[in-house]
Amino acid sequence: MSKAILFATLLAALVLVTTGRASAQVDRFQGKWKSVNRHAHSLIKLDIAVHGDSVEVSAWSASLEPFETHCARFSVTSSGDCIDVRQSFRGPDHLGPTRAEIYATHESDELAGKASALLVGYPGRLVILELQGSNLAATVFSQGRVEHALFTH
Amino acid sequence: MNKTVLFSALLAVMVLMNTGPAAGQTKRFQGEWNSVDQQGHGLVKLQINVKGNVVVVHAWGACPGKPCDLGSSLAYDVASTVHWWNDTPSALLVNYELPFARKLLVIELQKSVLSARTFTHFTDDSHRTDYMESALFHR
Repeated sequence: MSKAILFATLLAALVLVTTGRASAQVDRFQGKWKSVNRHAHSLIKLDIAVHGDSVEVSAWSASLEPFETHCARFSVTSSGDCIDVRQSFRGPDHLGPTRAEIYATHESDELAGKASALLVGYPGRLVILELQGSNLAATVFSQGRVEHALFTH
Repeated sequence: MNKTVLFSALLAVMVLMNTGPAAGQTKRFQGEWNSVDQQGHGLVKLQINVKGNVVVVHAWGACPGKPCDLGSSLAYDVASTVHWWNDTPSALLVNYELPFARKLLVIELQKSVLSARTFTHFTDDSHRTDYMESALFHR
């Protein structure tokens, strides 16, 4: 085999290997994620879609505002007082989908291959997403608070 | 992401944080902080000045010879939900608009150690990749 052909073959193989690994890295963010903490105050669910170098993040936040207050059945006294007031909460609020900024580990890195963090902005919220093993760590800044949350598939 | 949307979100978050419950106790961040890893490639020094509710963060990055002065910027303090009953701020957000990039610093205080994550988003036409780096600082 001539050196030129050998070199071209090697180059093609290298490009294919590099491209494959690159996609795999950013693809690790892909999928549906649920908060490990059932009592999370902020985000409870994420859905991340990866399309090449573009990442879209949908998020669901816990609704903290009571939707309705009512008296539980059989808990009204003879004088008309309620001894068991219940509150209903709305379902999770849906945020997004919003395109995320992807951050690598170094300015010379190939973005999709070395993606280490995503930055997503929603109205009044800033979310940082980082992979921690098979989990996803989120730092959520909103309304004067910062919350750390862990997500799993 | 549309840069305007992200920047608007960032601005809104910062304004909300500034009016948050953490305004009074940012003194814990006060002082000069040096990177634990002096051979690091990111930030090497932070000078945090607290005057009342105003927090100014001066940052220096690693450069050959001597540290590069990134300048000063206003910080926005945040109270952690974990510590909200103490009204204890545990994080600062700082945005630097440089001629070639926007740098967002997320500074968190963990006992006596300061951790900083820097998100660099290039705004010039250099086609460099946006990147994030982490560093630990002590006084």
